[in-house]
Amino acid sequence: MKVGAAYTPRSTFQKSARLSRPVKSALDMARTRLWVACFTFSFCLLAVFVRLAGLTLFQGESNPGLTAATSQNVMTGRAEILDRHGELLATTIMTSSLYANARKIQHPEEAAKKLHGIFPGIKSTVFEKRLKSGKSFVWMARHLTPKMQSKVLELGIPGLGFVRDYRRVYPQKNLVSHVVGFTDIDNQGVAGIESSFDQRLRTNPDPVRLSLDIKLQHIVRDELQRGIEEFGCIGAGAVVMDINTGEVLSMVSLPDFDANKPGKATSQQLFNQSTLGVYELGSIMKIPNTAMGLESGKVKLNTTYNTSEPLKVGRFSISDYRADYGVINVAQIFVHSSNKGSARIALDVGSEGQKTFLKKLGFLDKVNIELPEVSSPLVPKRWRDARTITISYGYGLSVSPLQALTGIASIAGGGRLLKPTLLKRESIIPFGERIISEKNSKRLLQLMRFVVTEGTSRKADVPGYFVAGKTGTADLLIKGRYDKSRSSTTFIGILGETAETPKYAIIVRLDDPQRLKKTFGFNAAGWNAAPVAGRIMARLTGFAGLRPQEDKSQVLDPFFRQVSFRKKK
Amino acid sequence: MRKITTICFGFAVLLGGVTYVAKQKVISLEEELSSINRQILAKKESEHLLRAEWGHLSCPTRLQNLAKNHLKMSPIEGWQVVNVQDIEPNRQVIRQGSGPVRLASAKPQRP
Repeated sequence: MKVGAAYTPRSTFQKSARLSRPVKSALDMARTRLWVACFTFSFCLLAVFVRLAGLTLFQGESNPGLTAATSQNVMTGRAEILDRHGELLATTIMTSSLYANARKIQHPEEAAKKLHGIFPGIKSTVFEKRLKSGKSFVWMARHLTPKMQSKVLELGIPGLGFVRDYRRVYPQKNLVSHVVGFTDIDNQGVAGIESSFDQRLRTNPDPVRLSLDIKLQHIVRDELQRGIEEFGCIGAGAVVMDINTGEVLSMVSLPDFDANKPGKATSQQLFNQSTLGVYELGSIMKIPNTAMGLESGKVKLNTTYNTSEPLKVGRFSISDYRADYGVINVAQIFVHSSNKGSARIALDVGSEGQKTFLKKLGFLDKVNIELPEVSSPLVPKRWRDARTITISYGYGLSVSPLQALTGIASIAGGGRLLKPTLLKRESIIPFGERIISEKNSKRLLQLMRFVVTEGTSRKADVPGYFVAGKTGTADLLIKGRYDKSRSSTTFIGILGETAETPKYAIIVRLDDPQRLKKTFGFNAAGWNAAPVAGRIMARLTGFAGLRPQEDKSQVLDPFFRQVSFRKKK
Repeated sequence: MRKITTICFGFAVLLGGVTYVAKQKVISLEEELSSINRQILAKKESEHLLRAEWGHLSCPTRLQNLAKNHLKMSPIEGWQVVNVQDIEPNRQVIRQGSGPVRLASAKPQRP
C-alpha cells in the first residue's frame, strides 16, 4: 500500500478516477510486481541473516574448515622417533640441495672442476657428465651443509640453484640402527620402524614413541662389544624385555651400522640377528620341554629317569655333555642339563603334545613385532620321534632370539603368553592365552634359579639380586653338517629384586666364541654368554634402581628342600 | 517517506562499510597468520636442528667416552645401594655453636 502510495502524487490521484481501465490495470500490475520483488529480497536477506547468525553465534568454534587453516598444519617433514623417555632417535632437519640447469651452464669443464673442489667425494667427470646432459634440471649434490652452500654461492656459476629439502638424521648413529631403520634419499622409510610406520610418520606430526631405553641400549651394546673382543666372536646379539608388559627395552645386534650412512654398511651389518636370524637354541629348549612335561601332568618334579641307559635315534646315540648322572629326577635333569633325561620327558609327552605346546608358545609361527625384518622359524616338516628327541634339547627347530625370549619370559613370568612390542605401552597390557599354570611358572623360575646357583650359569649371578637363567650351546651348522668345534652360545636370564618380583628378561647370543686359555679351552655358553649377560644385568640393576635384598634364597616349592643338585662322586 | 529511504540507504552504506572493514581485517589477519606460520616453521626447523645436535651430544656412547677420559667416576653397582633403614640410626649431625658449619680443613679467607 505504502509503496504504491509513495509514488502516487495527489494530482495524479485526482485524475485517476478519470483514467481508462487499461492504465489502471497496468498500475495494479506494477504494484504487485513491486510486492513480489520486495518479498523476494526480504526473504533472501532473512536467509542470509539466519545463516550468519547460525555460523557466528552457534557453531563458529566447531567449524573444521576454520581450524584447518591455523597453525595445526605446519608440518616439518617426517615425524620424530623417540625412546621411552623422550630421547631423540630420529628427526628431520632442513638442508639445501644443489641442482643445475645444464642448458644455462656455459663452461661445464671449468664448473665441474670447481665443484669437485667443494665436493671431493664426487669425481669431476661425474659433474661434467651431468652438466653436459642438456637437461633443465639435474641434481648435483644432495643435503649440503650451510658451509658448503656458501662456498657454492661464492663460485657464482650461473645455472646452479638450490632447493630446500628435508633430511633424516639419526643422532644416535649405530646405537639403535637395527630397530629404527633408515630412509632413502627421498625420505621414504626402507628399514625398521621407519619402514613399518612410514605412512604414519609422513602424515602425523606427533612423534612415535618406542619402548626402547637408549641408556640401557648403550649398556647392552657396550657389554656385547666387550664380549666380542674378549671371546673373539664373529657377532653377537641381545634383547632385554620387560617381563610384566612385553615391551622390548633393548635390542642390539652386532656388527651394526651408522643409520646416517646405510649405503656404506655391509649385508652382515644390516642383518638384525634378533628378529631376522633364526638359530637352534641348544639346552635353552629344556625350559619349554620341562614346562611342557609338568603342564601335561605326565611328569612331576620328582619323577625319576635312568640317564645311564643308552638312548638311540636311528644310528645316532644321544649323549650328555658331561658325565653319566645315573637315576635323577626332572629337577636334576633340568639343572644338570641332561640331554637323555630331556629326551625321555619329551617321549613321555609325545610328538603331538610337543607340537601343540610349542605352537601355543609361538615357536612355530612368525613372531609378531613392529618390524618388517622378521623371519619365520625353521620348523621340521615331519615330526617323528627322532625330531621330538632332538627338539627337546634344542636341535632341529630354529627360532629367532626375540621369539625365544618372548616364549621363555612368558613361561617364567607367570605363564601367560606375552605380546612383544617395540612401542611404549601406555596403560593396557594385552596378554595372550595361558600356556602354563602360575604354579608351574613359579617352579620353572625356581629351577632356573638353581641353574644359576648350582648349575652351568654361575657366572651370570649378580650378588644381592634374584637372577635365574639357562644356558644353551648349539654346534654351528656349516654346509649342512654340525661342526663340533664351533658353537653358537645363548643365555636367557630373568632379573628382579626377589623371586616374587621378576622384572627383566634378557637373551644374549654369541656367534662362534673361541676356546680360550681363561675358559680352560671350553666354548660352552656358561663360559662366555653367561658372564656377558651377568655384566649387563649388574649394570642394569644400578641403572634401573633395583635394591639389593639380603634374603634371596627363598624356596617356593617344598619339594626343592629335599633335592640336592651337588654332583655325586 | 524520504526519511525512510535515506535511513535504508544509510544503513546499506553502513553495512557495506562494516563488511569492507571486516574483509580487510580478515585479509590482514590471514597475512599475519601465514607470517606466523612461516615463523613457526622456521623456529621448528631450528628446534629440530638443535634437538638433533643435543641428541648427538648426549648420546650415551659419547658420554661414556668423555666420562672415562675426564672423570674419575664409574657407574653405580648393586652393592653400593643400601636401604635407608640399614644405615646406623645413632649418627646425628652435631652443630657446635650457632655459626655456620665449617669443614675442618677449610680456612677462612683473609680480607
